[in-house]
Amino acid sequence: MILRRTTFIIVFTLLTLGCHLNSFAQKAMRLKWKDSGVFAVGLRSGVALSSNKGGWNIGQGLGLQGRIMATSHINTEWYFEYFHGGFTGEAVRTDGHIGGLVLLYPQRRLQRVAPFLALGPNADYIKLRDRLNKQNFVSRWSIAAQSGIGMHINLTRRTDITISTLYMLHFGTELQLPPDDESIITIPASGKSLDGHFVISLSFNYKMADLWKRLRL
Amino acid sequence: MEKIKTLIVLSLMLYSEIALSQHSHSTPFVRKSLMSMSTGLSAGAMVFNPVQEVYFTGSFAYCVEQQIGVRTDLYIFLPDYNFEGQLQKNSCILFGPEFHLPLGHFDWSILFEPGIAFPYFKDGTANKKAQAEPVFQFSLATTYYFLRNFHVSVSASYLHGNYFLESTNPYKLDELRLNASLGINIFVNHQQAFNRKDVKF
Repeated sequence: MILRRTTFIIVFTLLTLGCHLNSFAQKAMRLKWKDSGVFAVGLRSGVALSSNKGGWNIGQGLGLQGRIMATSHINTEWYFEYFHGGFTGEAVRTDGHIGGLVLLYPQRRLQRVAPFLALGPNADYIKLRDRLNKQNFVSRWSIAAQSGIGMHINLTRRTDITISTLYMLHFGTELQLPPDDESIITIPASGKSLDGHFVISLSFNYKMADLWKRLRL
Repeated sequence: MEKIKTLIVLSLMLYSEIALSQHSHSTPFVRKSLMSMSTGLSAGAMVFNPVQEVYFTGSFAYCVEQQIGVRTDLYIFLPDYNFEGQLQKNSCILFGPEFHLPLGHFDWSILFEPGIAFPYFKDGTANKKAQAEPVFQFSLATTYYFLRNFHVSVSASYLHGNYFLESTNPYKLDELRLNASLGINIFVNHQQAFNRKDVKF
């Protein structure tokens, strides 16, 4: 246990040291024009954490996103993503999301590390299938909303890494999957009320252009 | 497992050393606008299954910034039908950012690439179609550039993913991969986008 912890600390320290030293070589974030209209594209990866009576289930996924800056304090993000993972010991869950987010920056101007609040609607697709029989599945489309926090780590003037944790709430009908004659898996777990899950994302983004003015970074 | 941990720690120590030495070298070969393509071979050993695999690989990378690039990797699975218990298919395509630590004509880089794998295990599924599974791969690569337009590269990667075949437990795709490749590279886009003249019709 102590050896494992020591190894983790060494790995984390070395990785942090390397990234920190290299970040000195980068120039500070500096925009000649206002931030409004800056268009960025990105690739995201992450996990979806959903709970049921048996505990937490982890789905792994990836997606694409685009951002258009509205003002210096408000950004918009448009994305689609796909998650796939086990759900209980008897089912496999697939999630697809397509939607938008409004990112609110509390800072006066964007800095190397820019925290944000996120809020937005999306369309959601869920498919639950039996682990032992692919033909036994149920699915649904629904609308959803998500909210959470995150931060951009601006590596250079054009590129950033974004980490975020959001909770997504689904406004859909109940899903019932009978894996066998004796049990039934439902979403939501109680069979009533709303269901939701956490989405933890890591994305890499690149500022492509200034849609309103020419980009002078 | 202890050997793997030791290797990871040693790799990261080397990475930190190169990060330190980077400050004393002002003109590295790798810089913004470098576009490179390479092909090679990769050998992999699955962590949770007694399976060894070989891939033909292809990659395309472009440096969008001084030390930051985007890269896509294609791993084409080379099956060996003489062995029972192996995966019949396991090709994958990955895409993600690459962080460069150049040192003269050498380049040390770290990559994080999400992607899609297409595994198929004959004994585990009812149909014969490969299934798309999201995966991600973390890599450390070393590249040497020579004759201005060529490079050789070696990399070590860890891929994580699950293959949900028709079974109670998923088939874990976690794999350690070693890759060697040879490629060509050129510099493109010598002018910044906003400095180029507008096209007039």
